[in-house]
Amino acid sequence: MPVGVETYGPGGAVLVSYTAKIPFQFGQLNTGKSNGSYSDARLATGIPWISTIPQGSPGQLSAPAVTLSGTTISWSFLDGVPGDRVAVTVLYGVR
Amino acid sequence: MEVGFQMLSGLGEVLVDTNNIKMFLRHAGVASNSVTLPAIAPVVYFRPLGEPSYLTFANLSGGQLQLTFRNPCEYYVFDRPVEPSFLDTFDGAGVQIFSAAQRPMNIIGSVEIPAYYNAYRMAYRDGWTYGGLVSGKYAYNQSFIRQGYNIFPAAGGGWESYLMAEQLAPTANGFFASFPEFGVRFYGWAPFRQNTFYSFMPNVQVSIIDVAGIL
Repeated sequence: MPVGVETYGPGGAVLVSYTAKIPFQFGQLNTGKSNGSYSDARLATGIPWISTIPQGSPGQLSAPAVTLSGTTISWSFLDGVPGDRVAVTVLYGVR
Repeated sequence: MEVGFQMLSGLGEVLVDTNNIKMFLRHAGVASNSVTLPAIAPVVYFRPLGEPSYLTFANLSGGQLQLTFRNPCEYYVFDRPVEPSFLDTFDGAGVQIFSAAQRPMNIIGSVEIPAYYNAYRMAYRDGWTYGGLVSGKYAYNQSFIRQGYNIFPAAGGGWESYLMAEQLAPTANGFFASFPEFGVRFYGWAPFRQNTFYSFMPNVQVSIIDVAGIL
């Protein structure tokens, strides 16, 4: 029989089990409206993930491409686009 | 020596420790367009209810998160734990980092959407389907919103383009991605002069969670 901790919701649904995985969140950053990058060595400690929330409409404004390579998060805008740029908030961690 | 509390899963992976913040479900609901919720450091998953959708706007200010979706969606917002429980964990600064009362963020898979729009002129609209999951109910998070420029020769000469955003639609065993609608029109401007669809953005990671039974 497996040994460990399980937690349950009000309806009896298992929330955390001994086979669960729960992602870590290490931090967040704002890209601003210029190209840039940010490194965090902790991203090497698991399978890294990033998530972005736009601080404006990416359907209407120029948004950055956000990429993750190793332990470095990079963002870049397309040069020459008329109008405003939209910054995004990047959250990151490992799972 | 570091002092604290650590709990490992049956797979030998850290479930809880006293150093790192874990992500837990804080809000779930339906947004016809916009919704405002308390949040600290949110990760937003969504499941369009009809038409394809994407997160068109978000603003986190003063502990309030405003979300706007292109079309009606179920939303699932994960955040730092906030609810008290019988098994709370706090870091050295007194910040709660685990709660037994909330559902943890459990990513069941991550998929990379390729540059399908390069296949032929209208491929941006015909889209790309991922179907690698068992039939179920899923919600999605795009690592970023991919943009593209639909470029045409302008009437009377010159070139123009439309900015378009990639949107998702749920399927029973995955999702469908496409650029279904025109956005801002740039009169007299295009990234280059060619009748094509162009995106400078790389492949997008979409992470997927199972949301059956939550709403």
